[in-house]
Amino acid sequence: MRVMWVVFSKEFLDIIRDRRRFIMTILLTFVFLPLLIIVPYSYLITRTARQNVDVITIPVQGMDHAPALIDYLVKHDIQVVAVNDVQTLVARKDYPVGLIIPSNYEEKISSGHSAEVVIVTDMRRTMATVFTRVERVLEKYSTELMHTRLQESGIEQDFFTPITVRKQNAATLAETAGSQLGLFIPAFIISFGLTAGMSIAVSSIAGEKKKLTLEPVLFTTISRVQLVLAKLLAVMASVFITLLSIGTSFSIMGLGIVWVVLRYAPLDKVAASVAGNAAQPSDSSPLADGFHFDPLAILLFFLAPCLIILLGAAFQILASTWARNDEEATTYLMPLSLLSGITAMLVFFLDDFTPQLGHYAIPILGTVLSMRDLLSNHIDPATLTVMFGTSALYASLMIALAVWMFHREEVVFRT
Amino acid sequence: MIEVENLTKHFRQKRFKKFTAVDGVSFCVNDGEVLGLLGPNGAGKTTIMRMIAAMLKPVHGTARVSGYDVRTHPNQVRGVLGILPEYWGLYDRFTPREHLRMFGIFYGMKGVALEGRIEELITRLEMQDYADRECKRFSKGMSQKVALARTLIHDPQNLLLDEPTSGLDVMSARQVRQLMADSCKQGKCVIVSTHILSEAERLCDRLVLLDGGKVIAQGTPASLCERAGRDNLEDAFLKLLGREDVEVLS
Repeated sequence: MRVMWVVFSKEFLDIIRDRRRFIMTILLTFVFLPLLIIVPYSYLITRTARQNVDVITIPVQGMDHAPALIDYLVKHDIQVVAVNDVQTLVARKDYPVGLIIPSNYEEKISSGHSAEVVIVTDMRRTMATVFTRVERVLEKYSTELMHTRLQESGIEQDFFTPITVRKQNAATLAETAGSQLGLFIPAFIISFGLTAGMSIAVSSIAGEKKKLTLEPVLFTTISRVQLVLAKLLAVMASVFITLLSIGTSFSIMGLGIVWVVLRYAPLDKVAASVAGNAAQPSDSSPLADGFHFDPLAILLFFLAPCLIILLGAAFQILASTWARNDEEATTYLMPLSLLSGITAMLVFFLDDFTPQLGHYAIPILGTVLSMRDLLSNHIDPATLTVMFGTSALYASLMIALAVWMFHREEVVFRT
Repeated sequence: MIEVENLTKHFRQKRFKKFTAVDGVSFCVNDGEVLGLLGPNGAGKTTIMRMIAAMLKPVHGTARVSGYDVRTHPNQVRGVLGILPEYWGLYDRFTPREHLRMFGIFYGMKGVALEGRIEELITRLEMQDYADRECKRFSKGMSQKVALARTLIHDPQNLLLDEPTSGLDVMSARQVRQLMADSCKQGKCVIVSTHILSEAERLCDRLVLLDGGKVIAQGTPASLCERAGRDNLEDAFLKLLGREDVEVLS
């Protein structure tokens, strides 16, 4: 065990002592990447929140034609300025949107007809949400006017909505949540799991062949099985450290965005605005609707990809042993990178797919399916046994193949 | 003691062709003796050393190191051998002390015995100034000393040294030669592969001349000169190899 620990720790010390690379990796994962996400996203969220609740000012052409409408807009925190040419002002980016009220507006409204008002917007400004806000207020005003007209005519509102539609979910809350989470999380874990240890696998064998550091180790009494297993463990550890780092990095991103939004976005006004619009029933995510994970499902969820990651690590060790040098090993391992990309695409085809027990024996697919099941709190002993059993078998075979390859003198000594 | 009997090794080449790197080589080296392996590039010296180190399996024949057969007891063979490869293969980001500790552990050493041996080798090879510096900017002489210390860490009874003074300056080469002489005095068995004939003549008790994987001649430097009818080893070497027509550049 001590010998294996020395080989294992040597691989990590070698990486950590490459100070520039190590510091760059730390900065990239925990500083640059979170900043790259936090800054634009929190800006976007804060700006959207402000545009939805702050008092805004829009130019209006023909303001005198609709005093009631103007009052309604002002009451909803939309200030207006009278102008003669809305089109030019919006095109010049002086205002995000403007309103044109036709001269016959009042006449049409009072005679019970439909009056057209024009919201002028600049479609180049893709991030502006002011248009939606003005449109929403105008639609609300229109609905209120319709209600008034119906009341005056003695017609019930239901007369115009003979059919109401309600959506009913055939899946349970847990299944829906699992499906939503299962869209990305399993693919994310498996994709990174299959590729994150690649650099250490390549450098620890093919790289050592190139640097001629492998031969002196082979001259010692250390067994090749110990050597392969220690390097395999180093690859596995590197994968788990990477996954943990990325998870931490994402947590930093999430917390960073929440902090910026809490500090700078007018959340009290947003809450008030949401409360004011709460008439519509929410078909919000079940994730935010009191859903809870089964602790056993969580445990199995995190255990599920371990064997397939081990299989990937053993394959990387095998390819690295076969290769003459690190460049060649990287070329051999390119299909694995593609495979991890395919895993990410796989989930998009699973919606219409009803898996049979045999599908759980297919490497990667079986793991993704099991992880999706577990995210839905669905613990099926049969499918889990097939998935864990076959994954363990594949991983064992691949490790045996890697050890066998490492014993082949014509492979180990070719450079 | 190292005994080599009828050692033969083929390598597979493209289209199922075989290349014979070593063909029926036999020799014996006693404890307290230095044997030189001489031969042009591709003569099979490194392959013989790798077979003696139980790294490559011979097709025919065998070798015994301190009584252990390379075919049946490869791990015991490696335990009583210290091997200095032609290319030192040091880890750039590790210090000499860390190299010695790591390889000592690979040989099953630990604790005070290991640390004591590390200090002893650092002192003996005069590496105190750089024992705790990373190896990445070491000169050839410094790197060779680290590799030598690594070879000696488990105090092996038998040494295989592949081109031990190649590319070294005068001072470093002298230190390495002294170490070989000391090992011999301590009763160790040493096989050295070298291109430097003057060094072979001075250091080796006996020489094995190889060409095309076969033993062309073996004996003491004086007996080889006598057999070739030449008064120096270089001329004898070329005569025995049948390469006397090699032109001298002027």
